[in-house]
Amino acid sequence: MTNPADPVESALRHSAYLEDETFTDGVMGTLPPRRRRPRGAVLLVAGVVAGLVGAATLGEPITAAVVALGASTVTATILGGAVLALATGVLLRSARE
Amino acid sequence: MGPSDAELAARVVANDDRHAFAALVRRHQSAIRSVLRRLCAGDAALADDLSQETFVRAWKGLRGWRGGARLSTWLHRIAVNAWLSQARRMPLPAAAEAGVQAPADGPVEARRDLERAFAFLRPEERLALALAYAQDLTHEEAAEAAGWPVGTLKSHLLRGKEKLRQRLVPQEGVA
Repeated sequence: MTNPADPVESALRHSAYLEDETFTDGVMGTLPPRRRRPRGAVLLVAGVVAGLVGAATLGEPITAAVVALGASTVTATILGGAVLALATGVLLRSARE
Repeated sequence: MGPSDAELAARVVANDDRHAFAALVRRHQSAIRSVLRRLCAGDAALADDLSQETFVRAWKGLRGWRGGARLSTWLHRIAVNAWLSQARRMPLPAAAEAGVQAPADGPVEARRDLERAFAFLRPEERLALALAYAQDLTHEEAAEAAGWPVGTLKSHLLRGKEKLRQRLVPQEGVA
């Protein structure tokens, strides 16, 4: 399919290296701004929201269990929310990885 | 021998590493710009605009490059898409507008004459020739970048080469 003696073939094959000059600088100058990586903030907010939702919906049994261990209701609610938030954060992180 | 394309791409994806991306652009700019110059029938300014667009698209989409194809094949595919989008927005210049003239006597002019002669080809013939003779693509990779089977690439290639031969060879060769 190729014939090195063919002048068209050899002209097509000959492709001189194009010096970069300012090309790369031009590309780098037009790239969109660096994306923010709000992973930590997203995890924190998601954890807090999940903790609040979890405390509201599932908090009662957890609270009851912690109260049974001798803690106050307020402490038990906070602990329950924190546990749920932590679990959600770990799940989200592992899902991203 | 610096880091591989895959290593540089991984740094871009993981840390938005602009230095790594600049290294990729420097490494591939000549190949991409050369192909687009032929596709644009020697319009160097348009080709460089489309090359720039190609690398910006690559920056945005690098996370989607899975390493199944070589990075150069993936970049050529983006360049082809940028060129096709441009062709849809604005029809390709006719041969007369592209300024094909008498054959040149120097290597630079010969290269420009070849690029301008691409204006006489149909878009699919331009695409086949530009990709099949790209600096570092095999015919299989060229076909992949064009989105065709290899057989389709080869048939456009034969027709395109014959047209170029009729255009360029009667006047004592091209180089």
